[in-house]
Amino acid sequence: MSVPLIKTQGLGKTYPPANTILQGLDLEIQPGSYTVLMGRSGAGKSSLLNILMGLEPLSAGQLWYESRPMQGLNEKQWALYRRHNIGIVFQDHNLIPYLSLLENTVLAGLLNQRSQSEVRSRALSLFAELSIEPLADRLPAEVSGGERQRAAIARALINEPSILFADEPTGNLNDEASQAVLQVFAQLHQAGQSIILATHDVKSALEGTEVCFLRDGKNLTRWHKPAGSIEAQSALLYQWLHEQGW
Amino acid sequence: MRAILSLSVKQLQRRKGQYALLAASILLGTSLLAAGLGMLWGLHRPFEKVFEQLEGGHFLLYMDQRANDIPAIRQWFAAQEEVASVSRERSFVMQNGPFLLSGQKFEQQLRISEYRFFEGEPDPLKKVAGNSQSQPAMGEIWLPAYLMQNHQIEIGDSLGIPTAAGVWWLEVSGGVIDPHFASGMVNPSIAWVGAGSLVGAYSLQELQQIHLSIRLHDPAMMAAVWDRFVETFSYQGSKMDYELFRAAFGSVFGLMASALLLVSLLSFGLAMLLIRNSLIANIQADYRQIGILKSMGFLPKAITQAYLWQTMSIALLGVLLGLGLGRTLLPLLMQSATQNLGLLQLNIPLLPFLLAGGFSLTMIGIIAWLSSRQASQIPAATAIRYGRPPVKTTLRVFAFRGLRQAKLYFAGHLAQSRPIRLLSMLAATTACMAIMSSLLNLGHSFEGLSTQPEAWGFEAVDLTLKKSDQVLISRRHKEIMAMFEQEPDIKQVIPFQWYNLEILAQNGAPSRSLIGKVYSESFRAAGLLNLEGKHPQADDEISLCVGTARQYGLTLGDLVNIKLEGQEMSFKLSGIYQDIGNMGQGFRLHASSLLELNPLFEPSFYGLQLRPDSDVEFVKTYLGQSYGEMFKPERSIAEIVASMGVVQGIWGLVQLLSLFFLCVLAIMIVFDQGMSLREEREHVKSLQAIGMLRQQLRLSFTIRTALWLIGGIVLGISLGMLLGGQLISLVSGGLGLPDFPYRPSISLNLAIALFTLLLGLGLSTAYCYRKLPSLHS
Repeated sequence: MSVPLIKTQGLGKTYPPANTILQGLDLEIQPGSYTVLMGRSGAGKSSLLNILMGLEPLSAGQLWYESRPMQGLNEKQWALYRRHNIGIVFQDHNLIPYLSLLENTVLAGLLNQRSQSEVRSRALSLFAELSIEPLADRLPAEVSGGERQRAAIARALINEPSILFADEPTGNLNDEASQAVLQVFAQLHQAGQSIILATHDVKSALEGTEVCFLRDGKNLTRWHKPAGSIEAQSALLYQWLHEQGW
Repeated sequence: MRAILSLSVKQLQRRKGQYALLAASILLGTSLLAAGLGMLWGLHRPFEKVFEQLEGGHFLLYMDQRANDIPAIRQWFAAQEEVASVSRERSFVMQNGPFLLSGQKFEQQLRISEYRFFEGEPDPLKKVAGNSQSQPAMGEIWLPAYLMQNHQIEIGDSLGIPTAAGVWWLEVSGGVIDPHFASGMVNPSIAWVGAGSLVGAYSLQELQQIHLSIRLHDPAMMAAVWDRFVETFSYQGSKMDYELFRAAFGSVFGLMASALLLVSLLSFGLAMLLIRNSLIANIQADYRQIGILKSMGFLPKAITQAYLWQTMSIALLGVLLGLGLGRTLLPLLMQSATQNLGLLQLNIPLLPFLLAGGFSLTMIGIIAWLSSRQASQIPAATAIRYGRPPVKTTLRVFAFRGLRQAKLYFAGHLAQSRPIRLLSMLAATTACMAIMSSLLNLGHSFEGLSTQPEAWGFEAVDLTLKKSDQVLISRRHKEIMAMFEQEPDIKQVIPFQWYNLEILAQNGAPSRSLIGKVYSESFRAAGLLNLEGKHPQADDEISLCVGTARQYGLTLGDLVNIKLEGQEMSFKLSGIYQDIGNMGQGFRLHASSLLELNPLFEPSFYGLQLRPDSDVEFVKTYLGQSYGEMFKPERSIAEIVASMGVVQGIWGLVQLLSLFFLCVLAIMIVFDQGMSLREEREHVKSLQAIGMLRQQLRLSFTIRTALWLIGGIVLGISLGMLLGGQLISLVSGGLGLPDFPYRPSISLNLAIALFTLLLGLGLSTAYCYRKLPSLHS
C-alpha cells in the first residue's frame, strides 16, 4: 500500500456548547481513488468534508495529509494547504458573481504565483476540456447551471490539486447536466485525479471506486465497487446501502 | 498579490457609485485640512515677504515734536548696531471722516502723513496703481490698495478731507502698499500726501505730530533695542511694532485657519465613519464570497488586503484631488491678503500639503485596516453554508409588534437591523449639525459688537466723543462732566484716556510698551467685564488683558512690574479681562493711580450712555451743533469692524463651511440609503411578493432615515447652541477672546434645522425612488 493521501484516526467534531457531530472516525483515502461519501441528512457528511478540506478544525482525533499531521495548523497553514493541495466543487457552484467564468478560474490560479499568461492558458485549456470555452467571458448569471458547475470544476482544477472534493456537485442540476458533470469526474479520475465526492444520488455514487457510508457521525463503513455491469453494481450498492440503514 | 489586485479592481468597478461617494467625502475633508494647514503655515509669509521686500520699519514711533527731542532720538537709533536704517521725521495729522468721494461719504479714520522718497530709508512705498512718480505731488494723495478696493476708489477720483478750514480736495494718484497697514486690521489706517502739503490745509498747532520709522537688522532684537531706548530717553509718544502688525495681519487668517482645521478634523471623522460603515457593509454583503475565497486558498491576510487596497486606492484618489482643491482654495481664501499686499501670487509651501496628505492617508489606512480585518475573521464553512452573518440584533426598541401598518413595521425592522450603523449615522448628523449651528451662531454673534460691546471688551456706550486737540482753550474735565450732566439725553458719562506704560521684564518675558485705558469714573458704570477678579479699586491695582497676563505668566494677586510716567513701580493684579480691540493686549487703570504721578492727567474720551428713548444719530448731530469743534465723535466699534471687512469675511467663511457640511450630510444620506437598499434587497423582494407597494417600501426607508436625521438635527442644534461658544472660544483665544461672547439665534437654528430636514428627507425619498429594486429585476 502506498502512503494514503488523507488519513484520519478517531476524528471528532463538536460544536459549542456540546453538539457532537462526528466521533471516532477512521478513514484512509488512497492516491488515485474515487471515494464517494454517502449518508442520511444530518449524518455529518458536510462536517467531515469541511474538516478534510481544511475549512473547519477538527475537535478530536488526528488527521494526516500525505503522512503530515494536520492538527494544530494555523489559519494561514490551512489556507496554503487548500491552495496547493485541494480543489473544491460545491453544490451551489459558488462562483464569484461579478467575475466572468474565466476570471473566476484565473483568480484561483494566480494564487499559486504563476504568470497570468500561464494561468490563463491553463484555464482556457481546462475550459476546452470541459466544453465551456466559448462561455469564458460570460458572467455566472449568464450561463446554465451545468455550465456554471463545469466552470467551478475548472476553478477547482486550475492549481492541479492532489484531491478534488465535490460536495453534492449535481444536487442542483437536471439529469442531463448532472450526467455531463459526472462524466467530467470520471474522465478526471481516469487521468489519475483523486476525488472525494459527497452525494445522495446512487447513480452518482456508482461513478466512484468505493463508497463510504457515514451513519450518525460515528460509524463509517466502506463498500468497494465490484467488477460487473452497471445494473449489477447498482443492485449491490442499493442492497448494501439498505443494510447500512439508508 | 496579483490575485488580490485583480479582485480589488473588480470590486471597485462593481461599487463605483459607493466608492465615488467615499472619494468625495475624503476629497472634502482633505481639501479643508490642506487649506487650513497651508493657511496656518503660510499665514505670515505674505506679510513677511513684503515686509522684507519693502524694508519695512520694525518700530513706528508717533510723537509730539514739542515733547520729544526728535534729532536726538533719530541720532540715538542710527548709532545702535542693531539698527539698519532710520527714516526722516514725517509730519502727520489724525483725521476722522466722513471723507467725500464723488458726492458720496465714507467713514474712515486716517493718519494723513507726508511722504518723500529717500534712497535707503525704511518704508519705501510700493505703488500698485497710478502714475510712475516716486512720491505724491502737491494736491495728490496716495491711499492703501485695500482701502481703494473697499471703497471702490479709482485713480483720478477726488477725495475731500474735512478740515477746520473747509474741505481739502486731493486727487487720488496712487494706490500703494505699506506692509504695516496692508491688512486693514490696524486702525487708524494711513494715507500719504506730498511733502509740505499739510501746511496748506492745517494750522501749525495741528501739525505737531511726527512719526519715525526704524528698521532693524533682525526683528529678534526689538526688545533689547527698545529697553535701551526707554532707559535712555523719557519718551513721550506711542509705538507700534513689527509684532503688532504681523499679528494684526495674521489674526483673521489665524482664526480662519483654526476654524478650517477644526472643521476638517470633524469632516475627517465623518469620512472615517463612512469608510468604516461602507467596509463593514461590503464585508457583510460579500460574506459568502469571502468564504469561497478562503476555500480557494486565499490567506486571511490577503482577504484583508483586498478590502484595504480598494479603500486605499480610493483614498489616494480622494486625497490627491483634495490636495489639489485645497491648493486652489487657499489662494482664494487668502486673496484679500495677497491683493492688499500687492503680491501677484502666493507662494504656497509644499510641506503642509504633504502633511495633510500623509495624515489623511494614515488615518484612512488605520480605519480601513481595522474594518477590513473583520473580513479575514469570517469562518469559511459558515460563510459558504449560510451566505450571511449570523443575526445578532439585540436592540429591540423599534420592534413595533403592536403596529398593524406594514410600512411602519418594516421601518422598525430597518432601524433595528443595523443598530450600530443607525447610531453612527445619528452621531455623525449630530456632529454635522452641531458644527453648522455653531458656525451660524458665530456669524450671528458678531452682531453683538454693536448691541453688547462690553462682552467684547468695549465700554457699554452708545456714542464716544473725543475732546478735540484743535481747540485753543480746552475745557477742563470737571466742566465737561458738568456740561454733560445738563444734557437730558445723556444717562451716564464714561470718561477715559488711552495711555502708554511699559511692562517690565518678568517671568522670562521681555519688557514691552503697552497701550491701555485709564478710567476716571466707575468701571461698573462703563459696563466693563472681567474674566477673573475685579476691576482695579485701590491706587496700586491694575487689571490686564488676558493676552498680556498670559504672556507674563501673571495670575490674580501677582505683582505687575511696570514703568509709568518714568517711574518703576509694582501694581497688584486685581483682574483679567478680554478685549478683541487690542488683540488680547492691554491694561486698565483707575485715574486715581495716575494722579499722584501726573497731577495734570485728564481724560480725552467720553463714552456716552444715552437714555433708552434717545436716537444716537440725533444726539450726535445735536452735540455737534451745540459744542462745535470741542468734541469729535469717534467711530463706533461696529463701524470700525464693518470697515475692516472682518464680519463679512467671517460670514463668508461660515457660509462656505455650512455649505460644506450640508454636502457631507447629503453624501451620508445617499450613502446610508444606498447601503440599506442593498442589504435589504431580498427583504424588499419578499415584501413586494406578498403585496407591499413600492410606495410603502419607499416610505419605510425614508422613515428610517428620518429617525436618525431628526435625532441628529435636534441633538446637534442643541449641542451647537449650548456648547458652540466653548468650541469657538478654543480658537478665538488668539484674538484676545478666550471667552467668546456667543449669542445663539433660535430663528437661525430653526431655519437651518427645517432646511436640513427637508433636504435630507427629499434626498432620501428621491434616492429610494430611483434605486428601490423591482420584483421583476
